[in-house]
Order: sequence, then structure tokens, then C-alpha cells
Amino acid sequence: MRVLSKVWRYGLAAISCGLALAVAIPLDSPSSCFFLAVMVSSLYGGKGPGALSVLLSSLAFDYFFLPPRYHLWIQQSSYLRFAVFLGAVLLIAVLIEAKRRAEDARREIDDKYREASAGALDEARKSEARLRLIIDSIPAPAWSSRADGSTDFVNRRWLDYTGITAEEALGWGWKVAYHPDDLARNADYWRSVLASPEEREVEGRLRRFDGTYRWFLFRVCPLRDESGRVVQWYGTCIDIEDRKQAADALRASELNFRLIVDSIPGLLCTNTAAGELELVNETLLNYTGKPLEELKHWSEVVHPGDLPAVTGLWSRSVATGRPFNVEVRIRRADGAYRWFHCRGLPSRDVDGRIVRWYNLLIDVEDRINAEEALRASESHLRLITETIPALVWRTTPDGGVDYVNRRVLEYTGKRLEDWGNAGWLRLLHPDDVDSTVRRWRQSTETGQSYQVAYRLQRADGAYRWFDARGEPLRDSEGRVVQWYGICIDMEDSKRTEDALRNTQERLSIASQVATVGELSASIAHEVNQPLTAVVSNGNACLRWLAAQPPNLAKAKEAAERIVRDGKDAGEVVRRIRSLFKRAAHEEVPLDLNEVIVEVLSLLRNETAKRRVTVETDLRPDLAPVTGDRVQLQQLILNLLLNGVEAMDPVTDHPKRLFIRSKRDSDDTVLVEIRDSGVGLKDPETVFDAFFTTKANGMGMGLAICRSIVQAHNGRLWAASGEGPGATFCFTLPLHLSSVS
Amino acid sequence: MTSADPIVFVVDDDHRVREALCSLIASVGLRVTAYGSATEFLEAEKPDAPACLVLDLQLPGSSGLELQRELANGSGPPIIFITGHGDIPSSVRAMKAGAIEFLPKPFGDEELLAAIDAALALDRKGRRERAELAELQKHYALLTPREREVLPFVVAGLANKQTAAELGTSEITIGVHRGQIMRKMGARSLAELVRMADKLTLTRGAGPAK
Repeated sequence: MRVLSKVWRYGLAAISCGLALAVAIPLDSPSSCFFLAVMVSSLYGGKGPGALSVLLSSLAFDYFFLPPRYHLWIQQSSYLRFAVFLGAVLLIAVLIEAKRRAEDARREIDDKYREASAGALDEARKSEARLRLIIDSIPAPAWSSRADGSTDFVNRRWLDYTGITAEEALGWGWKVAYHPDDLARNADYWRSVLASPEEREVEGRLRRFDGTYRWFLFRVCPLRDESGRVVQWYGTCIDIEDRKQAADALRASELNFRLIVDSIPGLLCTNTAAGELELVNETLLNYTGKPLEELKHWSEVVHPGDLPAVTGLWSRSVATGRPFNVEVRIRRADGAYRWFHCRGLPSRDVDGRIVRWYNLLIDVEDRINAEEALRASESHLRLITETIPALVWRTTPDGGVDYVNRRVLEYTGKRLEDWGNAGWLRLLHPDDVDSTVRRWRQSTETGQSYQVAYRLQRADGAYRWFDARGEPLRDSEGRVVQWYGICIDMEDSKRTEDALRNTQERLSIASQVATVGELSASIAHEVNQPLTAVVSNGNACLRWLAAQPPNLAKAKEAAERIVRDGKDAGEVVRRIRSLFKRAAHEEVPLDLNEVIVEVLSLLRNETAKRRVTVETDLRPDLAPVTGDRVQLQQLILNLLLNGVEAMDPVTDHPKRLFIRSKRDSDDTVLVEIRDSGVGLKDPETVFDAFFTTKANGMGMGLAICRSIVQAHNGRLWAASGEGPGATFCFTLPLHLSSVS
Repeated sequence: MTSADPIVFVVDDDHRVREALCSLIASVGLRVTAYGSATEFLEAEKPDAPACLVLDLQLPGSSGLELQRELANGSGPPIIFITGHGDIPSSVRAMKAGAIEFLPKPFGDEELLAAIDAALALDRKGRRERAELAELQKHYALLTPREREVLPFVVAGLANKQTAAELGTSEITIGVHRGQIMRKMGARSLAELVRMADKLTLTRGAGPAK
């Protein structure tokens, strides 16, 4: 084929030259015909045929047309013509060859390109699918629009999010998914974007399929062609709802803090790590009346008197990072200084370096004034407690001494430490320790007022009598928080009192004798009764014996009665003797009921004579009391006689004397004596000495009663009872062995 | 012993004294009953026999003197007071009110027994007199009111004529009244009538014993 083609191409060259010669001869215009033949041969035959046609054309031209015609020899005058011809055909051949080569090359390239572009198209299709997958699956709605802004693509995420179909969204349909407010608000923005296309972003709300709007960041990016014209817009929507909410919350929180900072009734400022003022709150600005800039020189608002100390402390805090804590006077806008308590704390970064100082200044002017007033009042009170002529003390609720005044220390010559831990008991007279401890313990356990008399050793060793009293201080719930007490020197009054007591005691004895004297008739009766019985029984016995025959049984009975009644008489005498007995005051355990019964037996005649009915209610299991038998007999005798005599004027109702004994409290016994007599006008004055309502009374009976009861640490009181008459009661402490 | 035998009452609140006295009195063969209080005594059934009362001056509730006062008007027995402390005012009051004896304790048996004897004798006499007086009063009760008016004039020794003048009636009428009075009263002579009137303590213008 190839060979045939070569033959044909060369043939074509020969034919074209032949044809050109055939045409040129008649026309006598050889050059253009041969030019055509060379062009055809070169164009369709290639390099070889071209060259052949050049050769043939040149020979033909030389042979047929150059003079000498039909001769290959060339005349000199035709050299130029032949050369031009040859040059022209050669040029044509070369040019045509060049063009043909170029076309070949182009064809070859075209073929290759065609091949290549088929592969590339396939690749691009795959790539586009991948891209779409990516675009559809990137976690953000995305879209693209044309240069004018009408949408030509939205991704799957966008459709899923808005719940709109792609058909609806394209063009301008996407607008329905935008929040109307944002559409209006962003219209200008979009216009500006279109006017000067570049990468932009804006925030707006996009409606979700369920109708809720979420905030998105719309980012848009233009695609331009070579000339820089925008051909396409690409955009993504990034959900920033959560971030936005967090940001809103943060802003609200910040606003809140700002409000707090500006509204707290304190001055706030922050300083840099170097100590320079940074921020202040509204309150501080208002207080000082200065703008922040001026406040940077804060030393101007600090009281000059406080300035050195404050700057010193501040520098030290800034240098060391130790919290700043100072009380300082700050000048107010009106020029007045007020006290502030300033506290500064550093905040540090993770490496522990100070980032900033936070300082709070609280107005403590009023507190400081109050404190000063309190201090003044305190020192005043202290002056009083230290100077009053008495021993002042204070204890904790459980009795530990925690304060004594100077007088205590001066009097005892001890230090406060010696008073604590019950040390003060060592300063008491040994005889007074037990009673004092008992009282004190009772008071601290029950919270009752404390009162006791004791002898306290002075620095020189002498004992002096003191009257000690204590009162508890209670909190709002009634708990004792402190005991306050005072001890008053009553040595002198005690001496007087002792003298008085001696006198009273003597008087008491005199009165005792007098009472017994008053009772002489009763005593005589008490003795006479058994004696009468004895004598009569004796006589009867003799007569029974003397009878004929003697009645021995009757005589024996009489003799037995003699013995019995004789013993009775002896007992009466013993009791009477005890009434007269003057023995030293002795404290022994006593059964009060026994004493009452004894005294009642002495009074039996007296009550009978005055027609008084005696009733008793004596508790049989009465615990013993401590006391002096004679004195208590006298006490009860006096009280009973008093009741009997009070009923003398009574005619309109029965005269009734009632005696009761009972346990009164854990450690006392109570005796109550009630009469139905004239009663008492003033139950208190009856115990005063020389108080009497009786024509011949001395007025000492009840006074003596009271002194007896007091000597027994008891209590005696009177009351006008229910109905007629008066009631006298006394309590006596139990014998120690009976106190539980 | 019969119900008419004399009886001694003992009132004392002290049982020892009561026992002793009962024994002593019984030893001489007298009937004796003891009481612890005045009330007990007053409420007790007592035999109709000569009696006497040995009474403690100080009694609970009611004193011996009060009991004495209560007994004084009736046919109470004579009283012998015994006392543990014989103070003068009470003994005087006791004696004035008719006590036979006032014995301070302790006393001898002779003293007491003698006093009891005397008291019983007195009571016997008194009972007799009271019986006589009762008889007289029975007679006196038979008189008409007019006769009772006339009687004082008769015993005063006035003649019938004088009496008639006083009462504004006739001498004859007075004579009839006098005869009736003498008969009803059972008087054998004017002297006897005068004694009777005396016992009835009738005087002119006054009624019988109040």
C-alpha cells in the first residue's frame, strides 16, 4: 500500500508537471502553471514528489521556454530568469512541505489529544461523583449560586437541615429557610457582597425542618474567570447556635458580673501584677468622684496619715504576692475621709505567676466608730470594775475563773492563774470550803443565783468574812454563758452580826426559860397526871390487899399500872429537863417528827385548856435533818404556842392547829404549822424583833425562831393561808448522809 | 348491887387516871363508870340511883366547868373536881357553881373517898328533896288559877277579910278558896302550908320556881 502510495505520489508529481507543461505551452505562461504543479505535488505527494516536480518544472521551463528554446543550454541573458524560477519553485516546495508537516504534526496531536481527553472525561466524572459525595456529606450545609446570586446547587445536608426539596431551594427559593429578620437585615450586606465580590461571612438564622431557627455563620466565596469576573458563588453554613448561646450566656454572665461589681456596696479595683491600677467599679468612681485616669495616682485619695503604711504594705504585697490587708481612710468626692478595710488577693496563672490583683474596699467607718465607742465604754466599765471597793470575778459556765479585778489580786496577793482551776478554794477558810463548794456546785448545775458567806485569806494570811454573790448571764436560749460575781468584805458587819447573834442567843435562852415558865402549869399537869395515877393506883392496890379476902388480881393490876405510869412520869420529867438544858449548839441527825411529837405532848394540856384541836400529818419516812435538838424543840414549841395563842380570840369557828412534815426538795425537809386564828396582816414583819400583837408579849418569839432556823441553814416564812389563820413554814437541810 | 345502889361517874381524858380512879373507887365497893369526855358522859344512859361525878377540870372539847354548868339545872349529880393545876380562878368558879370538892392532883385516897361519900350523901338528900318537891308540885298543880292567886296572901298571914279586899271579892269566897287550898295541898295546918309554899318558893306576886 505504502509502495503504491509512493508510486502514486511521484506519478502525481510527474502528471502535474506534464499537465502544467501542456497548459503552459499554449498559454505561454509557464511559471504560474509550474508553480501550481509544484504546489500540488508538494501538497499531496510530500517531500520526494515535491522535489521531483521542482526538477521536472525547472527542466521543462529551461527546455521549452528559455531561449534558446528546446535546448538545455541556457543563454547568459536567461540566467536570472531561470534562477528566479528555480528559487520560486523551491520556495513553494519548501513552504508547502513545511505546511504539510505542520498539519501532520497537528493531526498527530489531535489524535493524541482525542485519546487523552476520552480518559480524562471518565476521570472527571468519577471525581465529580466523589466531590458531590464530599459536598453532600461535609457536616455543614453548602450551596453555590450564579453570579447574580440565584442558587444553582444546595447540598444534601442543606436539604436535610431545612427540609426543603432541591427544586424548591434552587433559584431564589432558598429564601424561605432564612429568618425573615435576618433576610431584611442582611439584604444590604448581600448587595455589598455582590458589588465587591470577595470572601465574606455573615451570621444569620436558618430554619430547621422542624421550624426552629438556629444561628449559622454563612461563609461565601466567589469563583472568578480569567478576566476576574465572578462566575459562581460558593457558600457554606456553619452551625454556631451552641457557640452563640455560649457566647450569649457568657455575655449575660459578664453583664451580670459587671452589675454585681458595680452594685456591691464596696469599692472594687484590679491592679496589674506590677501594682498599677487597671479597672475600678462604678461605686469607686462615684465615691471618689474621679475618673479612672486620675485614680491611677491613687495615693491622692488616701489619707496622708495612712499613706506611708499603705504604700509600704502594698509594695510588699506586690513584691511577695502576699495578700494585701489594711485599714485605710479614703477621701470621698466631698473631701471627707472614711475608713475602709482593704483586702487584696492576687490571681495567678498556671505557672503561679501573678496575673492581676483584685482589691475590695469595704466601708468600715461606722464599725470603727462603734468599736471606738465600745472601747471607750469598755475602758470605762473596766475602770469601774477595777476601782469599786469589792472583789469582782467572772467564770465560765462550768465554773472556771477567767477574770478577777485588781482588788482581788491586791487582796489575795495572788495572780489570776492562781484563781483558775478552783485555786480560789485554797484561799478559803478550811471550815467554809464544804459549804461553799456545795453552794457553788448547786448554782452551776441549776443556774440559780449564787450566794454564800465565807472567810477569804488576805495576802497577810488573815481571814476576813466575805459575802459572795453570783448571777448567771444567759444567752437568748437561756443557756448560761458566764457567771458574774462580786465578793463584799463584811468582816466588820459580820462581827456586829456575831455580837448581835450572841445577844440573840442569850435572849433566846431567856425566852426559852420564859416559855418554859409560861408552860409551868402545863408541865405541872403533865407530871401530875401520871403521878395522880400512880398514887391512886397505889391506894387502890393497898385497899385490894387489905380487903377481906384480899383481891390479889385487882391489886396486881393496880401495881402494874403504877409501874407503867411511873415510867411515864419519868419520861415527862426527862422531856422537861431537855427544855431547860443549856447545851452548846450541836448538830446531830434528828428525826423532826420525833421532836414535833415531843413538843406536842408538852402542849397537850395547853391545847386542851384552850380547846384547840390538834391535827398532824407527819410523813413517816421522813429523812433526818441536821440540827440541835433543844433549839429545834424550842422552835417548834414557839411556833405551836404562837398558833395556839393566835386562836385565843376565836369564838366563831373551831380552833384547829395543823402540823405537817414532808420532804420538800432533794435536800430539805419542810414543816408547816397552820392555825385557824386571827391571821397575819403582814407576813414579813412578824419576824421582826419586838413585833407583837399580844398584850403581854415581848415580841421575841418569832424573831428567835427565825434566828434558830437561819443558824440551821434553813428558811422560815409566814403566810396568811386559805381561810382563817396563818401558816408558818420552815425548811431545814437534810443530814448529809440522807442527801442523795 | 342493885340499880338503886349509889354509883360514881369518872370523867377524865387521861386513861391512866381513869383506870387508877376506877380501881380505887371499886376497891371500896362502890359502883363506878368512867368516861373519856363530857359528851360521852352526857350521852350515856345513867341509872336512877344516888350518884356523884368525879370530873377532870381540863377536858378536850368541853371543859369540866362547862359540863358542870350544863348539869347544874337538872338533877345532875354533885361534882368533885380534880385538876392537874388548880389555879385559883377556876377553883373559885367551880366551888361557886356548886362543886362539892376541888382536889388538886395528885390527891390522897382518903380525900377522894371522903368527898365521894359526902357527895353521895348530898345526892341522896337532894334526891329525897326533889321527890318531896315533886309531890308538892303535883298538889299545887291541882289548884285553880284563882286559888293560886289566893295562896300567897294566905301564907303571908293575911286575914280572909284583908285578902278579899286586896282581890276585890267577898270574905266568904276567900274562906272557900282557903279551905280548897288546904285540902288540895294536903296541909294539916297553916304552918305546914307556909312551909310547903316556902319549898315551892312561892311569894306574893310570883309563880313557882322559875
